[in-house]
Amino acid sequence: MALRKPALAVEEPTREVTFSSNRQVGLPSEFARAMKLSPQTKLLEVLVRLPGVGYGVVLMPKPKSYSAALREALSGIAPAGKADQFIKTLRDEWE
Amino acid sequence: MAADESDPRHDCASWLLEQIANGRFECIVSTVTVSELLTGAVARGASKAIATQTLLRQYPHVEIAPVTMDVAADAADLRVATRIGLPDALILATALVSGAEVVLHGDAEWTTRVSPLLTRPRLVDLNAVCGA
Repeated sequence: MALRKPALAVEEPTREVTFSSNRQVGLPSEFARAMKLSPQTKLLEVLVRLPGVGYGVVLMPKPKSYSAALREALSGIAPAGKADQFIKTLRDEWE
Repeated sequence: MAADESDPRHDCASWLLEQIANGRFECIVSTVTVSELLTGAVARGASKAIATQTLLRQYPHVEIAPVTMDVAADAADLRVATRIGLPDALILATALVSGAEVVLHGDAEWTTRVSPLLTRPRLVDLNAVCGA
């Protein structure tokens, strides 16, 4: 059975917003609903490097478990059972 | 290895990640290692690349250590003394310059070539301690 990616919770995941003179930008209500935000929810703003663009800001809820979130992010970056081979291939490129 | 449930070191590495997040250990990660992780993430698409970069930048009790002139100098010394590869030498030199107490690794070559020459930091091979 083919697995389908879950549909995004918003129709347009990209919006243009304007940076105000007091350094504020508005979060579209659809985005806030998709992120299940309510007033006073604590969020993390993280500056990330976007090659070809410069820098961007990721706005996200604080992970309940950083280790679980990082494991999820890193899952699949190397073929199963081949993490060592993946690293060795990259390091051998230096020789 | 923590992200791969088929890896025999998975449980051990996951436990370590949890302990670091909880502040039991302070962790230093070389930018060389970060670039390796991000290479894999970028190859899997933009969302994985951004998620990985975002989490690495804010992971509690983790410092991302750059390759500085001091690191370069120590890496050159290690490279010549041990004949390990240059990226390995840069990572180990990062630990030396940062004053790390322990280096966690998964490379038997480090144990045989580097351990006899270093008293600090102590090299710990996850393959040996995690039952791989």
